[in-house]
Amino acid sequence: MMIWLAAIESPEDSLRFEAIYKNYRDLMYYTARKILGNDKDAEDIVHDAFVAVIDCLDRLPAEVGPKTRAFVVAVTESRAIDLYRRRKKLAFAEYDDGMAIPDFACPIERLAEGNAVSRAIAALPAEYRDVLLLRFDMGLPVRRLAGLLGKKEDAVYKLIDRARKRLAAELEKEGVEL
Amino acid sequence: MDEKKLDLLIEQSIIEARTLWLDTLPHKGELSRHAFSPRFRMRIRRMAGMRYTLLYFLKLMGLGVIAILLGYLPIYLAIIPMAPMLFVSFTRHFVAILGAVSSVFVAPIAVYFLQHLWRWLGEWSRSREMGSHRVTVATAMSLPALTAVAYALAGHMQLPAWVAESTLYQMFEGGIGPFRVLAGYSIFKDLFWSGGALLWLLVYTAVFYAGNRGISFRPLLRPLYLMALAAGLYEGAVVLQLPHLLPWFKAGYLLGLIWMLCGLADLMELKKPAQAIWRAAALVLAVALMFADLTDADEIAPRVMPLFAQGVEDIFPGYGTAPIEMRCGGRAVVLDEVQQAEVWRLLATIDLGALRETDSEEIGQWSSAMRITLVIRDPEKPCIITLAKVPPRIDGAGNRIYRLGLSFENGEEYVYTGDDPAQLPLDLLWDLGQ
Repeated sequence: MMIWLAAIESPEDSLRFEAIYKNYRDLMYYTARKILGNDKDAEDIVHDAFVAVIDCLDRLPAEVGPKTRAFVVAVTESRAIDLYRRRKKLAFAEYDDGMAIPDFACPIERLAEGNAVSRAIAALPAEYRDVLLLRFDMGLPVRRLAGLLGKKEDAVYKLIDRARKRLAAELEKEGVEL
Repeated sequence: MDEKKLDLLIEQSIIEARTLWLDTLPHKGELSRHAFSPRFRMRIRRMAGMRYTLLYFLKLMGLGVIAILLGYLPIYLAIIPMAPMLFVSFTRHFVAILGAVSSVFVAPIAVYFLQHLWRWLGEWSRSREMGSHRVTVATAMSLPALTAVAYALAGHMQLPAWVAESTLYQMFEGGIGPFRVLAGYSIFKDLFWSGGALLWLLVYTAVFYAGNRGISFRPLLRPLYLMALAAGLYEGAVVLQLPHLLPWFKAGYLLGLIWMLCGLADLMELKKPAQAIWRAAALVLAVALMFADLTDADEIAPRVMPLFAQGVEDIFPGYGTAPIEMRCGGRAVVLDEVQQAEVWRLLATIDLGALRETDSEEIGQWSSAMRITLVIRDPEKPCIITLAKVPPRIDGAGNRIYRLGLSFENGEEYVYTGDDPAQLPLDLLWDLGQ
């Protein structure tokens, strides 16, 4: 308990955390619940995500906004998918595009706007999209990403690599030359 | 595949991709509010530090306390010129009334501190490898019990001198105001006049204890909150019967009550329709209470009134311990311990608010055979008090009019004139003096 209490060091961080909690707890719960399908697991994941948020408060903007929203949802989603895999006893399976990854991508028909690359990123399977957002939008180094997602650094490198390849494949289908 | 080019493309498009993706997510207004379990909320609040929990309690307290302060200050301003002795005991008297009226707000604070004390005790017992959770529970449960026993001792028994003089007892009974309030003093004092405060304490304790243990008492929580609501309304009914209250103080109190009930709705994290119903019900109940004609007002008010007599203690130095000599009709009687305790108990019930200040020597004109003089033999603060009781007279309308006089060494005199014999608790004194 004392470690948690000490986790938030300054009153400013406390206020930011509170704002994040108030604004996004339901969205985070919705995200986790959609993937996991039950209340208790969803609450556990939201809790884990909040712990991760504390670790990254220094990377988040002072005011809540799209960047923070994307961050908390991405973290929640990644952790929920991870738990989903474990529940399905896939924890030790290699990542493979052919594997039965649950499709939590957002509906492509809702992505009518934007350029081909942004549409393709947004339409990626959730875990690929999330890792790219955290890496490129938040600018998190792999080491912190590993802590944030609860994975080893090697696994994060591999995940980023697979996300790139998947994106490249999608872009080639769209006729974008790389 | 040119990885550098791909990374560059990602960097250029990531913000737009983020926007596109976020647009596909439901917005706050589209999400139904999820009622997180107490276990979850407890963990989150711990993460945020205690501030988050404290915020709730501050919210619950805020307006209520302000209303009490605003409501009572004018009353004191009106009373002070009439009763200088109350000015002397202003702080103490004020704290006592504040505590009594605000027990509904004090209860959460007292429980909040107790709750953290328990948690600390739990940590401590584990760190000492005492292991047993029973230590925490037993300690926690013994605190209210000890407080109640202390009050029972103070109010109803003759204390041994060493207890009465002990620092702890003095702190509790002697009037370190904030300590008394925070210790829930008024709650336990009320305990003897009404059961409402006890119910409050039990409800708050159960709810927060369960929440902090991570026990999912969800099916029980809402009935408990409803019990809290009932207890709050009961307390409110008691408060609103006080004859001293100004109408706008009542309004302030009710605003505080509504605020608190809305705070409870927040605390319960009710979903929107339920929350709206809860708030509407709180409003209706509070307004109904304001206009309610409670037929048992006569029963309720006297139970609260003695709280207003706190000032009497201040003019009886050595309260409850000093020997008393009673002089009556030219005879002097030293009271035994049982009689002495009874005298003190009766003195403490005299309501100064019902007395009026008189011209000096009014009591002196009464028949000396009808006077009782109490000599307080306190070695540090000797004091002589004259109590005079005049047999009732019949007024023009045929009512029996009672009079009670209270005079002090410094010449101040107070007289009660009225047709309510309940305000004359001196029959027994009179019998003792015969």
